[in-house]
Amino acid sequence: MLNFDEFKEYVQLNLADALPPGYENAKLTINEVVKNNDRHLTAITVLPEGQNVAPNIYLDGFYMEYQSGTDLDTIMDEMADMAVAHMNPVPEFENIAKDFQDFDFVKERVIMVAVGRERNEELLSDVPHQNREDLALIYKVLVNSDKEGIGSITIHNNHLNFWDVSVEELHELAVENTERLLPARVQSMSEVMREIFAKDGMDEDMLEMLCEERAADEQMYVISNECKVNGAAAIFYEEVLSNLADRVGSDLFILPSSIHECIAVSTNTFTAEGLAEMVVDVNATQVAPEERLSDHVYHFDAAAKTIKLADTTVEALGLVAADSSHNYEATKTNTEGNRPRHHR
Amino acid sequence: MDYVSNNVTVVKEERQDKGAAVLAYDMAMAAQKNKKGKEVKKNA
Repeated sequence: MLNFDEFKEYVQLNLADALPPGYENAKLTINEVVKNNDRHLTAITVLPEGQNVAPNIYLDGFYMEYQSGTDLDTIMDEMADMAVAHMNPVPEFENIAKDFQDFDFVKERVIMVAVGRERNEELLSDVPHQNREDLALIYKVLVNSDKEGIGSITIHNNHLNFWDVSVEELHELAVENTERLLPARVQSMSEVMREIFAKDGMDEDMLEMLCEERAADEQMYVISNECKVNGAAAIFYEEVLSNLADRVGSDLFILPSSIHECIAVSTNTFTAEGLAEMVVDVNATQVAPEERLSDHVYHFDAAAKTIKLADTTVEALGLVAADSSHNYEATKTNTEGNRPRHHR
Repeated sequence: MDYVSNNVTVVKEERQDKGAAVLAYDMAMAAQKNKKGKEVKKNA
């Protein structure tokens, strides 16, 4: 049985033989990608001669398949099929390396994404970010958005140096762009259930019975964006939480359901500790490790328009930093008159 | 599928159907409300 390093080497040496005619001179390169929650994945790019964009095929899943008993020839064939099937990316990706160097291209597309600080120490050491309690807002360039999802590039510290742009400038652009490119979507639990069950083919009468609208302060609300990808950052959009608090008629507890959405409930109905237990439990049983956001609950103070960690377990959390008293609706940092400077 | 071009990685993230987690929260909250209701009755 090959260990993972030997497996990588085997793939790099043998994948070319499994590729169909026409790919003899494809360039195969092993690379490592750090995904959300410091998940390291190893991939191989298959770059055909004359092209400048290559699919990045992750080896970790294939290695698990190999460990489960699938023979190496079959795995090489599956990998080759996958590479060929994804050889033609969407048109937006074709000149992306060149476009990404141009800050005029980037500044219209930079967005903010919320991630957990506790599980992303390594990622956060290498990317510009702003802290919000135990969360961090990182920045990505939105390259493509369609019915399948989104394509984006994570911005790293070295990119800021290259563009000669500060984190504050980037943040200001991201706040404006994210609300425009990925508009917020707030749905009551009844609406969400109606959508889920209707998709499964449930008839209208049954939907009426099961998805009865509850009183506003008894409801649970799901906050995301229209795409439902990386939608947890929507809690930092201007007015989203204020408008919801007005609708509910109280302050809100915010539950970090995943990087894709948060859940809000009235502070009149639940306790922060009870909800924190729930978050830990649901994270452990229902949320994929790479999509977990935080194990803590936040309190949105409607009068002060601030979000703060709410559950007592945060006392043990070393991350509650001096910058924890941000006004969350004022996500635009005070950088007026400090627009991006010259860009290469 | 993610793509790489000259050291720039474009990560493709698919639309999520978070039904399971959201329903789990709904059930857990209903259970907590029930428990609270029973405690109130018991203490009445």
